[in-house]
Amino acid sequence: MLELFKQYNFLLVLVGVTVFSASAGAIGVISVLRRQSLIGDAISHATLPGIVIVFMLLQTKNSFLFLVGAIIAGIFAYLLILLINNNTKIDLDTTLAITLTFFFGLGMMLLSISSKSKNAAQAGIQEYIFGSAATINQMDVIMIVITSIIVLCVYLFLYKEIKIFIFDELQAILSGFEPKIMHIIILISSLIVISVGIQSVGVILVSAMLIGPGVSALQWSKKFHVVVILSAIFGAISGFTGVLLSSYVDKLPTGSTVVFIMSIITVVSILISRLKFKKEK
Amino acid sequence: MENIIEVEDLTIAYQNKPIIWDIDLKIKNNVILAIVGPNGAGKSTLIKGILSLIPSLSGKIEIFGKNINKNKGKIAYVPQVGNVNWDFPTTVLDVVLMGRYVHLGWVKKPTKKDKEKAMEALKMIEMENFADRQISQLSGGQKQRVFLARALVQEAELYFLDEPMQGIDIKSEAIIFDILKKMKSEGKTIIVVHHDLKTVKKYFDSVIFINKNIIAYGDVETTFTKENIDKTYIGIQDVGII
Ligand SMILES: Nc1ncnc2c1ncn2[C@@H]1O[C@H](COP(=O)(O)OP(=O)(O)OP(=O)(O)O)[C@@H](O)[C@H]1O
Ligand SMILES: [Mg+2]
Repeated sequence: MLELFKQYNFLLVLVGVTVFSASAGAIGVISVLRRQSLIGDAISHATLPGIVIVFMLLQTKNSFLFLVGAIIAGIFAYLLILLINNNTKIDLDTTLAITLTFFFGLGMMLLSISSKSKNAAQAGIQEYIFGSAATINQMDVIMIVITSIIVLCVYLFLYKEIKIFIFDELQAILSGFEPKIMHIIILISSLIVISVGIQSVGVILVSAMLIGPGVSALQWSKKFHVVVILSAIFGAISGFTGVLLSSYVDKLPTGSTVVFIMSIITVVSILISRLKFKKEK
Repeated sequence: MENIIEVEDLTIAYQNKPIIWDIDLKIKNNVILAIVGPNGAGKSTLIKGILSLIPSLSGKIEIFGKNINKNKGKIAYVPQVGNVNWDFPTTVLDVVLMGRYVHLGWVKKPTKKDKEKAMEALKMIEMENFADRQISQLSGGQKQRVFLARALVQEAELYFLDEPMQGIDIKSEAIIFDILKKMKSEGKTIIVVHHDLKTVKKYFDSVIFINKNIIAYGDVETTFTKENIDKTYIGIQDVGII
């Protein structure tokens, strides 16, 4: 066990995945409470073509530029969702499904074209679908830490704005907190977290890390700040134990293990809160 | 005093389907005004339109002789209870404190003074013992009172309340109307969407009848007549008055 902790690469993975999972849990609470979790799902799938296009242009892995590509693609997807939602009678669920499949399909198509080159295998570009925590390097960890600090700052400085935005959007408008600005801040924060996280858990599972911790935390507390902190803790626990477990058990993929542990926490939280609820009745 | 609200030719549509149209309206200072009309008449839409909370197809709106954006903090709005997220994990005191946010602006946190004001408002609505209560655990009447408290701490001049009597017990109704009366005596203007025609005469001095457009508007004494009620609730049996 101790041997493992002495390995620099292992520590990078452990810290990277744990910190990412914590910040995903924290920022994800907002969309869970706004009942818009599926938007995060659509947007995270939409980041794939962004990453692949950047790779096709560069032919090498550059975490920072991948991040930029992912963010741009995510914003595109978000704008597309808004455009369809505001101008047609198609309901939101359908719009999200369309957007998700369109962008993800595009990403897969570009991926299969670009993966014919040798560089693709080296850059581990395919790993972005299911994630490959083992490829996390120092630069990735630095970016994960920076995005976490950004998420922390969003909560520290805009705590009351976030509360009023979730609880009563019209009151937010009348109080001078333009919801458009809040939408943008929350979208960008979520997107940078998603973008640094897909490398470890993959495009498909990353949105689970945004939703699971928030849903779990809401079962335990009715105070917003406690919910946010708990959500970050639940995320961190799944990240930490997921990395440990997958490094002990042969062939266990890290990303899926992390998400699986998160799901167990969620199911247990919901069960316990149901039991408590029954007892109170 | 002169008019504090002037609305000219306001038309509002949802997805190209007009909901209310050709609304011209002048509202005097220091009145307590009821907006009545059947379900779906556009009462909530009218209020949101006046407050520019929803886009309009046409219309010019001035409040205190200015654009609404220049009146932040002077106008309080109490939405229909169903229109907010009651599952949001927070306490009664916290919701009331939200009324202070408009005076704080971005980033700044509520101060001790703000909390005192919020507690005072809770006392006024007789809910000081509920300060730490979860908002999801309130009755309909308590939710309405909490909203009123949030509007009170805003220390506004002009109040819009959308059906504050919806799903409410007699005790809450009495508390709310006592406070509205007191607010009027302090010179405030209060505009209330009201469902219960039986109590219009008792609580209000002016009334607007609306059903897609304004059917009648004036003092309760002269305007609250059977004729106007029939015209507004046309085709609706038993509106429960007289
Ligand atoms: N967001 C919306 N999108 C589409 N149509 C809407 C929307 N909000 C309201 N409407 C429609 O506009 C009409 C007027 O609604 P409004 O809420 O203003 O009525 P109201 O007089 O307040 O009714 P109630 O007494 O039920 O509160 C209704 O037919 C309603 O279906
Ligand atoms: Mg209404």
